[in-house]
Amino acid sequence: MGTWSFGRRARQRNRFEIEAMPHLDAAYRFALSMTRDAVEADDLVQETFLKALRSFDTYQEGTNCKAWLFRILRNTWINRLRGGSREVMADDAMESIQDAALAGWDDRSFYRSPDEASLLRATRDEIQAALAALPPDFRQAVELSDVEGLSYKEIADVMGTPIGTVMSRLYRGRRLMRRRLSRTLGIEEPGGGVEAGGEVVPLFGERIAGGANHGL
Amino acid sequence: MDCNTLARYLDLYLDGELAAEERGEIETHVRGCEACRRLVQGEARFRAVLRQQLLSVRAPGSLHRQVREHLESRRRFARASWGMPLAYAAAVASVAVLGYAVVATYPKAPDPVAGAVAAHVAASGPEVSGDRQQVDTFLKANAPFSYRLPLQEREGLRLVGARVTRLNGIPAVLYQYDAGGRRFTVAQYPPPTGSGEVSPRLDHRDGYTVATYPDQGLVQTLVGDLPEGEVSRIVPAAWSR
Repeated sequence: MGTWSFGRRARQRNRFEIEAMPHLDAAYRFALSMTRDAVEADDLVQETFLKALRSFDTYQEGTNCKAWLFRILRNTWINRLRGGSREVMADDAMESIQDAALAGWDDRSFYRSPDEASLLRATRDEIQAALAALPPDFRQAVELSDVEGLSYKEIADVMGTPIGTVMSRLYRGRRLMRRRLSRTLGIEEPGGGVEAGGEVVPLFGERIAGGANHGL
Repeated sequence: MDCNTLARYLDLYLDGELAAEERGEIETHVRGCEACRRLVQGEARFRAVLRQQLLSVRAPGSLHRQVREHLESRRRFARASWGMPLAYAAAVASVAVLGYAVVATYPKAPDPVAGAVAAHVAASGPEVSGDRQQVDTFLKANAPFSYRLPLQEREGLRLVGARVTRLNGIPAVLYQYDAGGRRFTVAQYPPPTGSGEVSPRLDHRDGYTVATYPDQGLVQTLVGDLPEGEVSRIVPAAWSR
């Protein structure tokens, strides 16, 4: 890189400050969701921001900087998983099990009358526990949409999947999460398919030994 | 629009992924249907609760400080560099302007480097997996140009697979290497026409370290989640100017 680029670099740092730095909290949330470990999340965010700063000239102005940072963060995390040869579970291969868990589900069951809208009294811990029970790809899709406000297209870019996959992960992830939460809060109606689904949670361990590998 | 259709479009509607016309249909239905209104409002309220609860998770102050300090140290470095002699600075500035003008005037050449990064990220898997010999046999039959295995293998650096592809229109061979458990990709392709002489360069794209350098008539682009130091150990050729 030639010396002439220093002025450009200084400008780039200022732009980085304005465009990327405000997303530090969001990056940390996403990192925490992927790593489930505060120390590892901290480290992942630092590496992501270092890389983002060095790569900032490949960021396309006018696109969503938060989504761009998330993509770097997720790729970095996947590289670490690969490097440590940890198993990554093929979440989408579990569709039939997830569908069984959703049997008898009706979106309307919560919102039939005002006092049944008791999902609304869920605490942060309860919401986090319900999300944590989801397969990781589903959890990430739900959080990127519902918490971080990314569009389907942006989520597809972050996760490197087609939009259709994002939509199906969102659909299943949201409903699995609400069902779990409704059980925690004791508001699922009797016969609402609890038996049909059984206790699905233990199946969705983060990494299952011998689980299928995405080919990542 | 009936109640079942509304239930199917509920996510798309609340996610803001519907066109104005479809949105209008939903809103018309909801105005006239108590049950659907409850569904839409209930779901919207729950999402608001979820969002509000989870947005309260923040990065620790120490992390904010560390990232900011790093940014500041890079900024000081950049500022200090402006202390160069004025005449030199002016000359440098005119070169920079010229550089921009060239970039702006010529139509965009095909960019195999961007293609190489995309291919590495996609990780679509090699057509042939195996050691040097197996890859060589496969490429003898399939490579679209006279390829050469790009890197000298050594302790902690192994060739593990390859595939033949096109990078933004340019025929290329993608080699997959393993460096102590970390995968990286080397794309090999003939120099794009009209690109002139390719000079070695080290880049960072979308978080990856990217080294592009000429090697005996071909161009090689290494893409990986590797520190610069490791890249320079793997391909010293990229730095021999």
